[in-house]
Amino acid sequence: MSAVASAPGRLVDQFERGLDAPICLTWELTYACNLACVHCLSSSGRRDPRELSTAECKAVIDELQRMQVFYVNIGGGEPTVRKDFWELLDYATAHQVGVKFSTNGSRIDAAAAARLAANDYVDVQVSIDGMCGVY
Amino acid sequence: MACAASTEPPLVTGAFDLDAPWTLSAQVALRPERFGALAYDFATRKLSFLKSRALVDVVRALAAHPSAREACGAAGVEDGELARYEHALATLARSGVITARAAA
Repeated sequence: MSAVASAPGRLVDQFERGLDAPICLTWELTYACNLACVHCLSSSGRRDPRELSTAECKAVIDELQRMQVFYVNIGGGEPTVRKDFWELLDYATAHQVGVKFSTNGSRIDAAAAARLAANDYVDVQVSIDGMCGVY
Repeated sequence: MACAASTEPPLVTGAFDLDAPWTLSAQVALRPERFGALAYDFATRKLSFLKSRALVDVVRALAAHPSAREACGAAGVEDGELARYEHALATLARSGVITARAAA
């Protein structure tokens, strides 16, 4: 991160009045998960019946694009259990919203890995947390 | 970690050439803020702050002018302020926010 040139006053003072929009935000796309880790920080497992539809998710992404939110951190739950996850990921990155997502990795097969590797706007965090030496 | 297949633009290490043509890097998004703008590089994930609206005007003007010096003039930068803007543009070039472009 760098700061460049010539505003009156210190940047920290400017920030007291806030930014026009978030730089990034965290989005728990689903609470559904294919695992049942006892240490899960969000007590995930079951899908929330109020979960956003595909169209609603795309509308959120459209709004993020208008606000110029640079990227979203997607977690859950296990985001890849959503059937539309890859569609939403492609939709976000095609609309100038970068994606960083957390996954347990169990559903990342060779095809998914190749898809991720081909997308410059995606970062992946694979959780290897566990209990008592497991994982 | 360095990557042999990196698509990152070469970083500018020398003095900034005010008389060369420059442009906002293709992978960088500028978001206006009341203090100036945020610049996010989708390739390197680096965030930069442009701390004045005048500097934002200069950066936006770069692509339409044959040199950074002329872009500064078009954005209303006075001769006495030029050195400060040159320094700011050099910083932006080192971080890849702006990049050299071929002369027209």
